[in-house]
Amino acid sequence: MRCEAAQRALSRAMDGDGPLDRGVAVHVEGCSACAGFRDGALRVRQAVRLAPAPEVPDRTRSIMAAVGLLEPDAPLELGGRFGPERDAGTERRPRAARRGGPLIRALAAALAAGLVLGFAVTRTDLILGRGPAPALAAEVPRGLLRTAMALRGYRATFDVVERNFARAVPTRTFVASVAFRAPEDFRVSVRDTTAYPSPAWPRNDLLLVTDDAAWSVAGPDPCPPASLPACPASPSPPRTLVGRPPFDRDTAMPTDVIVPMTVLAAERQVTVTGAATVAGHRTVRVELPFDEAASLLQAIQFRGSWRPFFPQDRVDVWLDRSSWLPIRFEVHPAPGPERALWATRAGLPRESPSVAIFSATARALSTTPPPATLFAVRVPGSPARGEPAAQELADQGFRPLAVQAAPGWVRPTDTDGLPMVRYGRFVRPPDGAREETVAAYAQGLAWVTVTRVAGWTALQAFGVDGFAESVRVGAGVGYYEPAGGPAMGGGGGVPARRVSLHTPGAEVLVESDLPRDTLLRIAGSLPVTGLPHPVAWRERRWAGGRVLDGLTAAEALRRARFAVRMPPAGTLPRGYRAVGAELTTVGGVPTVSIAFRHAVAEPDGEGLRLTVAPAAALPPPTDPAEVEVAVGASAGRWSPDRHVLEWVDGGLFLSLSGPDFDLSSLVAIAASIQAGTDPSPTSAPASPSGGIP
Amino acid sequence: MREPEPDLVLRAQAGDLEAFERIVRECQPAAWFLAYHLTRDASAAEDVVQEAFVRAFTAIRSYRSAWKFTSWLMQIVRNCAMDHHRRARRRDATLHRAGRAEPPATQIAPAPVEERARINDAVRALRPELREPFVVIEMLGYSYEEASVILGVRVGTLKSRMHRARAALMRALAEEAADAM
Repeated sequence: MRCEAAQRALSRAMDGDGPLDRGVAVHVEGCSACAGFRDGALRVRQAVRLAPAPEVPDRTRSIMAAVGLLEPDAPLELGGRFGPERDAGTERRPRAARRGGPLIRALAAALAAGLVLGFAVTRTDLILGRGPAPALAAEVPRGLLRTAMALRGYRATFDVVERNFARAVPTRTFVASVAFRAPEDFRVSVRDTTAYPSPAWPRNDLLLVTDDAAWSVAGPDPCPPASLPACPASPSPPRTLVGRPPFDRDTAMPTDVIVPMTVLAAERQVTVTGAATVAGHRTVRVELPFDEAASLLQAIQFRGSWRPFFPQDRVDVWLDRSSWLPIRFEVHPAPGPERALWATRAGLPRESPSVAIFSATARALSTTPPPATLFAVRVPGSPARGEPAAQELADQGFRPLAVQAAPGWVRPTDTDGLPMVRYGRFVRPPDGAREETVAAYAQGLAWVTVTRVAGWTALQAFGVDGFAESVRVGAGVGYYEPAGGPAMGGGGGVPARRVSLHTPGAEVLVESDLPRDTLLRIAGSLPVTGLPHPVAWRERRWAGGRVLDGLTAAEALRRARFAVRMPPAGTLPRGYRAVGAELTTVGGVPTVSIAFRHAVAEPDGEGLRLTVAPAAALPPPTDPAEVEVAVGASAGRWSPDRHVLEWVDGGLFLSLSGPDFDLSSLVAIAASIQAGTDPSPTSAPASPSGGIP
Repeated sequence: MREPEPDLVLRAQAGDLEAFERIVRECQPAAWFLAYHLTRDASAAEDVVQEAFVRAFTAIRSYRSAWKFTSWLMQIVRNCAMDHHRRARRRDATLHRAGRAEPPATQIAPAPVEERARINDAVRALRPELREPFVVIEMLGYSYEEASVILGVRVGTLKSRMHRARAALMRALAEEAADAM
């Protein structure tokens, strides 16, 4: 037997391809070359198979983030084509892609390599399909989160149509370009393409740019449409800020138009109302009231004049079924007489719920990170003496430090996988503080900041108000507020959920656009333990009385000896619950205020407020627009201007107020509340959290 | 490598992302190992693995249980590694024309035993058509039939290449031993 043949046979036998032939075995025993081959091959096997396992990098998160932008074998009827965005006016009817064809493979490869996702849509081809599976309601938020974390860049052009801006301008049109480069570069330009009756009408040409540390905004100041075209008298200069802290609350960076993180991605479930094909793209349609969608519109309405919307107007958002990126959204008027009354008072014509009064449709979209130069903010120099400033320039006072220098107290052990991207301190800490440092963690559009304030001497919580919800954070307690406030509706900064921790050495504020549970988990992994707020923060006394906050609703009602049955589950809108209460005592008469807030986001920062005080009858009216309404068996009244419903029941005066609630919602909630004074007053039990008598 | 439960694969085919994530977690080490040995670069292997799983996800409905799932997956890893190799070659050519040097590839830590290091070096020095079957069959423990699916090579060819790979390794190690004396 030749050695070559024997060694081939040895090799096959080693690989499990049957037993070694007896003749070969005999040859090998008598042949030193073949025995050497066998021994050497076995030594190699031992070396490679028994080698210590190398540490394999875990890319699960990154992989899942990438596949979250896809769907298996997606019949991704990508209208248009991959590649650079098309110019305006070059819409083309989409060509259906083959199932699992080159487009799919190109998309998968591109995403895996983090290179390009591009498609284009037309704005007219909308075909409603069959209803989606119920599982989508929970899948949409998860998909949005995955998309947000995978996104390294984004660039899109939206065609925007606005109706009934003013009697003389029934339709306005805009082209909005949105660009993002992770973690904090953002640019929006809005070009007003409306044909106005005369050049006197100011154009809503807007620009917002931030490269994280600097931020600039330009565009006309807002004016009531009824005052146009005379208003504004003179254009306001561009405003530029430097020294911007990470994900600043005071400077707009309205990224919700890219991925709606504020509400949709943070919910456990969303309202999916249908599946549709938009210009050849499979989409799901999600519905939410305008007040919850305001952050979506903020991307293009951060300055200038725009038509108003009713809080209960309906917003439909079409999310691409593969990438989950919004490619179209529309605002429709809410039905009902209350909305009609509001429209009349706002000077709007009759508007049908079936006709969109505002729409934005992506004409082109790409996830290729735009160049950094696109986000450069031109910082103006100082004007010469006596000359007016061409720009407003202000320094927010944040100074970056090396990320490596960040101390342990701003480093949660669990950041949900987000790496630290910025760290620094303020040269001018807020009033009542000695030092303020901020560390920011971000990936894609997801972010978390940890702010630590040392030497805090103010008699109030840092970063949250007196109605913040007391929640368990790790082994301690924290005070939580949903995303909201001016950021969602008033042109403010980045909307964020936040939890404030009071610790022996410092105040710590953790803010994030991630869901509430994730935020609390991250805060709980900080090397600090939150304590209950000190008594001095919760009680304010003056000659005529005192206010005590930081109470639960039950505690406040018990102390006031009010027997009030709170709205049962199912009466309040989904996601709302009582988060805190305060007891005001003036001249020995108690008044209880109870705050109800949404767990995820509270657009106006207020939510719903219930006030209870002893009274036999309604006090005299103060608002000439008030109307009488029935609240259960009681007579009540409604102030449309103040959004307040008042009634008397069981010897108590009650009022419900909520800027984002319509009358029918408030009446339904009010009718579920049963009130009366406690017939057998006893001494109020001590508060378990505060110990204040 | 342990084969994922058939039910897990079926769920992933139905679009269940949690099921697919479990498959990623279970199969990732073997995928990385193969990718590393095919690319000889740890950071490139990470990219290849990521790309392979994304491709697997988009194509998972085309998988048929007539094959082992892991064989099907490793075939994708191998294809991705080949694509990476082609891209790298183009990039190398560009860099060469531009007169720039490519940054050194990231290497995993050398084995603690000298012989193990020498063998690994010898494996890495094999020509691709020999190294691939050696890694898949000898290092990852696949059968000829499975390796045939993964590498897209007939079984008979694989048997021949495995022998040639072993013979080449023996020669390389013998020469190295002779040089050391």
